[in-house]
This record gives sequence, structure tokens and C-alpha cells, in this order.
Amino acid sequence: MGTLRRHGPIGAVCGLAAAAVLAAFLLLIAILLAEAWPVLDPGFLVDAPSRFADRAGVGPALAGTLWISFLTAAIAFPTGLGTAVYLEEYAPRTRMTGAIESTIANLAGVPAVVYGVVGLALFARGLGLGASILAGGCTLAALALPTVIVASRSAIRAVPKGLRIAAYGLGATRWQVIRHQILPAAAPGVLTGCCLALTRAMGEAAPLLVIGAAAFITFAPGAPGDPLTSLPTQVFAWTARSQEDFAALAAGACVALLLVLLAINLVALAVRHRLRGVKR
Amino acid sequence: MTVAELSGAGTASRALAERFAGRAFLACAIVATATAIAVVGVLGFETVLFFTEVSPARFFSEVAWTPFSEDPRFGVLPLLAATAQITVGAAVFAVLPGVMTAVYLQHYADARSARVVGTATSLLAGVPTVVYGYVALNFVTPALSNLWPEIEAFNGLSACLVVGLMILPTVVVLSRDALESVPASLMEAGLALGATRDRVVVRVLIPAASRGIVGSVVLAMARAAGETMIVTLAAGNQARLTWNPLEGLRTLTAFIAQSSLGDAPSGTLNYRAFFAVGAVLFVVTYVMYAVGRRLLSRRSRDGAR
Amino acid sequence: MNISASGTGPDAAALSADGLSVRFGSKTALSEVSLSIPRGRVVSIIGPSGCGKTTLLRCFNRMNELIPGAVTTGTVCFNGVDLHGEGVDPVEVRRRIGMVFQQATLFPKSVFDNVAFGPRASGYTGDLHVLAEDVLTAAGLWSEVAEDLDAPAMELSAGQRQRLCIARTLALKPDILLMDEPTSALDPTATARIEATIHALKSDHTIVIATHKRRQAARLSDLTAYLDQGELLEYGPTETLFTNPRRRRTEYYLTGRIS
Repeated sequence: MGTLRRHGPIGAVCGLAAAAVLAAFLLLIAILLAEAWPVLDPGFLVDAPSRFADRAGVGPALAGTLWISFLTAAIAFPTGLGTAVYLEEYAPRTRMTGAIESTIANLAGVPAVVYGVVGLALFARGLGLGASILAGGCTLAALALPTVIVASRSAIRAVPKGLRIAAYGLGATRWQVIRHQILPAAAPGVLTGCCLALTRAMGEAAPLLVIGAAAFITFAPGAPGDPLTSLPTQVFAWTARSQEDFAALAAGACVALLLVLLAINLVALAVRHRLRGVKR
Repeated sequence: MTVAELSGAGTASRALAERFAGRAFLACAIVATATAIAVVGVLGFETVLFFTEVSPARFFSEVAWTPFSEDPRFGVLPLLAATAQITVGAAVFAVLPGVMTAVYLQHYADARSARVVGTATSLLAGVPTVVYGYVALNFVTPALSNLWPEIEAFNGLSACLVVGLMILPTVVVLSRDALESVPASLMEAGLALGATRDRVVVRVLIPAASRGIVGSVVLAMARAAGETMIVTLAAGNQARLTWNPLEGLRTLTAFIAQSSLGDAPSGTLNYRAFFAVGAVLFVVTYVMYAVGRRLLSRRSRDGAR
Repeated sequence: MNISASGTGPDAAALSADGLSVRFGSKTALSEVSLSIPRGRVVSIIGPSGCGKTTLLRCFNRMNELIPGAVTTGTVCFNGVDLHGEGVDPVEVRRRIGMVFQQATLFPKSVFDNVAFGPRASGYTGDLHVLAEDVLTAAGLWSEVAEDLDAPAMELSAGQRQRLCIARTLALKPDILLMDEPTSALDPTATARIEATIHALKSDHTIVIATHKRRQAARLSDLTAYLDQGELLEYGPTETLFTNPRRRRTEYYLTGRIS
């Protein structure tokens, strides 16, 4: 009980709590891997779902998730970053701006499923996109947008004031200051925020279910207009069919989903590392 | 010298770029604001239409939620109660371990254990909720049925436990931020006065961070209230008022996720019921989130960083 | 060049302020300051900290308007042209009236890129390398950085950084150089080098320096202005002001009774 001697009983109990958190995480991963083990083979990543569990795979769902995340990023990143730049560098400091800012920030806390309902009315029905990949991408972009804005704003605000002043002082225009000083300096933070927003959106099943994600798609979507499917909704579909075989498939889909998210995080980490390295 | 020389004329292309950039950023801000307005507007619009058919008084007082029966009832109370139960239940499981872990990370852990536990926490935060739902249904519920054989296949307890696990990282990370914003000199001052580390932590540092810790709990509970996939998979879809955690129940979120599945025809009462429920959920979580954010931001502004 | 009424004699005003006041919100930073800065001279602005030196300096190239809540009244003229007049582009103003800041904030790029930033921003068409050598020489930094212009600027010492900031500003070929406490963060050796640089620049630049170092003002400047709580209390030839101040506050400040 070295901890107890060093820190006293409170410290020891808190240490136990931390150990429990660690254990819970390891247990979660162990459960998923153990359950998914039988189905995990290369074919699993390309095969289509099937009525026969042993032939089913996550191919279309994986393709759907990649498509959706591409659309989400393509819509939410520029819009969110642009909004952040506008709010920080252009907008006058008025009550109106303040209200917009805090509304956007609070929208980051609105549950994903609510975005699903709104997406159903706006994109699936309103724009007539139906239960398509595009409708899903738009919905998740709306979901990710507040997070991207909030993170980008704080990254921009963290840029040292002196850089801005120095650049203006050298006769740079506002756009030149933004383009050459603020955006490069804020890039690592913006990237972190975008990555967080994207991976969070990619893991959401609820909004896509509400729009009408299909559980049984036998071909990989190849265009934004194709029927909506994704890894999280596939996990849901298989989990909801409470049969042994499908439980293993659900675990497999969970693992595939976690691997995709991990891959995105690793790429973002590498890019961030390079950005920092270049800057010195 | 003349004004013309200071007018920046002769740099037309640059002025054009400047105008274009300004317009483009403004356009982004307009799109974002429009999205925010659309979210609120769509919810509000359909909800108002819903209330023209079902009076708000009935909506908030009836105790039956049976939108698909022949004599449909739209009493939101069972859904609201279920959401409250799950939220509070999850907090019961998450707050103590979460805050204690934060205290450990901030005040006790050596660098290496802090890194390991911190990484596990952030990875846990990145796990999609549908994955938690899978674990709740396939592992937690079976495990609980060993303890209580009478437990239903869909039950509140399993959902509470797993939602608690899901919000745990939020509590840990934000509480730690709150603890971090308390000046480190307080610890040294306390130790210099001969107090033990435990005593300084419990008597000085945690109270000093209490506002932020409460904020982190409120934010975590807002997340729990809006959580959908775990409750949909583990708590079931029977809208009923029950206080028995071993029975199934249906939250606001689960109703939306389960009953819609994209094919309710537009304009029907059932379709609008999603929006009414969504609006209730929106208001509840928006308020909680705003309160939590406020509690947290004050703390960090006051803290000497 | 269109010659304005202010004339072009040796003592013609390069910069002049008339009834210049600046408020930040409810706080008055500068009240009713009127002074003129003759072309080709070095003018020091001295005074206790918080007296408005920096604010006055920033009025001369319209940097104050970047601060939210800043309200400027009165006029500032540059070679007879009202800087706040209609059609005047603040960006163009800042290219003509260069400024060196108290904090030597370099861009996180190479030495060369730091020097090239201003000229590139204003669309300079000449050879940037020639320009860089010129201004780095003028700033007294060339011999130290000539070896590797692509080295990260962040690796320079504090004194070198400030000289790079001066070079960076000179690269704009400004008519006037504003320097805000250019040596306040430096040790005596580095300070001496910067002062030598300023001396060298004196011959063909109009320079305005805000400083809290009294002796620095005495060493460097032809004219000195004493600011106190936002008011211009005294302005005249440096020697007169230092040896025979007219106002008691000036004397107190010069003798160190207020600081």
C-alpha cells in the first residue's frame, strides 16, 4: 500500500476510482474483441449484410460511413472555420453577435437525435433527399457544425495577439493577416476540433436512424444519392436482432467502427505533428 | 502628399481579394446562423402544429403515451420521467468515480499513471454510444440477471449503469479542468501549514473547485438526458411510469429513435409528435447545457491561471 | 508629389496631431494632444507608465482602431493629409508609417520570411533578397544572419529579434518609423546595439520613439514630448526639456520622483 502511505486514505480511494475507470475501458475493449473474434476476417470488411449470419459483412456500412464522413467534413469544416474566422476577426462586438455566439455554443449540447428529427424534416423531406447518404451527411454536418465553430474560435483566440498586431503593423490587410498568420498559427487547434467533431458525428447512429437508415443494404453505396447505411446503424440493426450469431456480427461492426475512428485520430495526430514541426 | 496616395488605389486585385474574403466568411457565418435558426424553427413550427391538435395541458398532464393505438394518447410524462430517471441514475453511477478520478489525476497521480488513465478516459469518451448500447444489452443485462433473476430483458438499471459509464469521461475531464484552475499555490500553502495532502485536497482544493465540478456534472447529465442508443437498446420501448429499475422504460430519445425509422408520413399527428418530443428534449438539454457551461466558465475566469 | 500647405522645409511637419483624444470605453487614454513632428528628426515621447505613450504612437498609423471600443477624436495629419479623412486606407497608412512594437513578436517562420512579409503583402516587385540584405544591414543584423536566412527566426536572441523587427519594418520603406519601447525587454548590451541602429537610421528617417528610459530619450532624440495621464504637458528640444523643464510634473518625472 505505497499509495496509502504516500497520499493517505483519500488519495488511495481516488486511485482506486481511477483504476476502475481504466479497468472499465480495458474490459470494454476485451469484450468487443472477444465477441468479434469469430467474425473478424478480411471478408468481413467487404461482404454485404446477409440473412445468414456467417456470410454477412460490413462492406456497405463501412462504405456508407466513409461517404457520410466525407460529406460531413466537406460541409462542416469550411463552414465552421469560416464562421469562426468571421466571428473572431470581422464581426462587430455587439449584443447580437454575442447572442449568436452563445446560441451556437449551446447548440453543441443539443442531443444528436434532435438533429435527426430536424434533418428528417429539412433534408430528407424538405429538400427531397430521402433516406440517402447525402441527407445523412447534411444532418451530421449540422450536428458537427457547432463543435467545429467552438473549437476553431478558441484556437483562433489562442493565437498570440502580438502576431496579429505585428502583421497589421507591417501593412498587411485583414485577409493577409488571416491567411498568413492567424490560420497557420491556429491550424493545430482547428484540426483537433474538426477531428473531434467528425469522429463524434461518425459514431452517431440515432440521427441516421431517424432519417431512415436502412439495415439491410446489399451493395456498397457509390454516390451521395444512394440509400443511407453506416457502421453505427448497422451495429444497431444487428444488436436489435437478439440472436447469438448477430451479436457477434454487431461486435465485429463495433470493432470496425472503432478502428475507423482510431485511424482518423491517428492521421490527425500525424498532421498536427507535422504542422507543429514546420512551425518550430 | 495627397489622399489618393494613401487610398490604397492601384491595388485593385488585392482589394478584390479582400472583399471576396470578407464576403465568404460572412456567408459561412450566415449559413451557420441559418442552421441554428432552422433547427429551432423546424422544431418550433411542427411542435406548434402538434399543439393545435393536442393541447399542451393534455400533453404535459396525461400519463399515457400511446401514439399508435386506436385511441392515441399523447401524455409525455412517462417519457419525461424515464429520461429523468436515466439521467439521475447515470449521475449516481458516474459522479463519485468521475470526480474521484479527476482528483486522483490532478492531485495524486504521478506523470505516468496520469497519462495512462488520461488516455483511457479520452478513448472512452470517443466510443460511439451505439457500442455502449451493444455492451449494455449483451453483457450488462445478462450479468445483472445473475443478481436479480426477475430482471426484464429491457430494464432501466442496465441503461443507467452504461449511460453512467458513457458520461464518466465528461465528468473526469471537466472536473479536472475545474480542479486545475485552482491555484497550485493553495496546495503548497496548505502543506506548509502542516496539513496532510488529503486534508488540503478535501478541505481546500475540492471546495475551491466545487462550482466547476457541479458544472461538469450538469453538463454530463445533459449528455445523459440526450443519450439515445444505449437507452433504445437496453431500456426498451415501453412508455410507462415505473420506479422499479429492473423494469423497462422508454425515454424521450428512445421514442424518437425507435418509432420513427424514417417512415412516418409527413404532416400526420404521429409525425408531429416526434417534433413535440424533440422540442421537449431540446429545451431540457439546452437549459442544462447552458447552465453547466455557465458554471464552468465562471470558475475558469475567476481562477488565477 | 503634390506639395501641401504644410510646406517641405527642413522643419515641415511629417506628422501632426491636433486636439487628439482617445477613449477606450469609458477610460480616457489621451486627451487633447496637439503636437507636430518635423521631418527628418527623432522625437521621443516620455512619461510615466500608462501615460498614453503607446496610444499616441498607435494613433499615428491607425493601429488603435484594431482595439475594440477605441474611440479617436481630433485629427492626425501625415504630410498634411488627414489620416482619418475619407478615402484613406489604414493599410496604406501602415505601409508608409512603419511601427516597431515593444514585444518583438516574430512570425514563426524563417528570418527571410519575416523580412519579406511586409513587402509581399504590399505586392513588392523588386528583388526580395536584395531588399532583405539592405534592411538587415541597416538594422545592424546582416552580419549575424547572412549565413542562414532560412533559419527559424525564433532561434534568434532577444536583441537580434528586435533588430529583425526593425529590419522587417524598414523593408516597407516607410517614410516614418514609430518605435514603441524598442528596448524595454532587452539587456544593456542589446539596448546599446539597438540605439546604435537608431542612430544610423536617423540620417534618412523620421523616427518617433516612445520610451520610459529617460536617458535613452536624451541620447537619441532631437525633440522630446512629456506625456502625463494622457495630456501633453511639455514638448520641445530635448536639451531644453531635460535641463530646464517648464512644468513641475516634468521635473518630478525627470528626477525620478514619479515614474
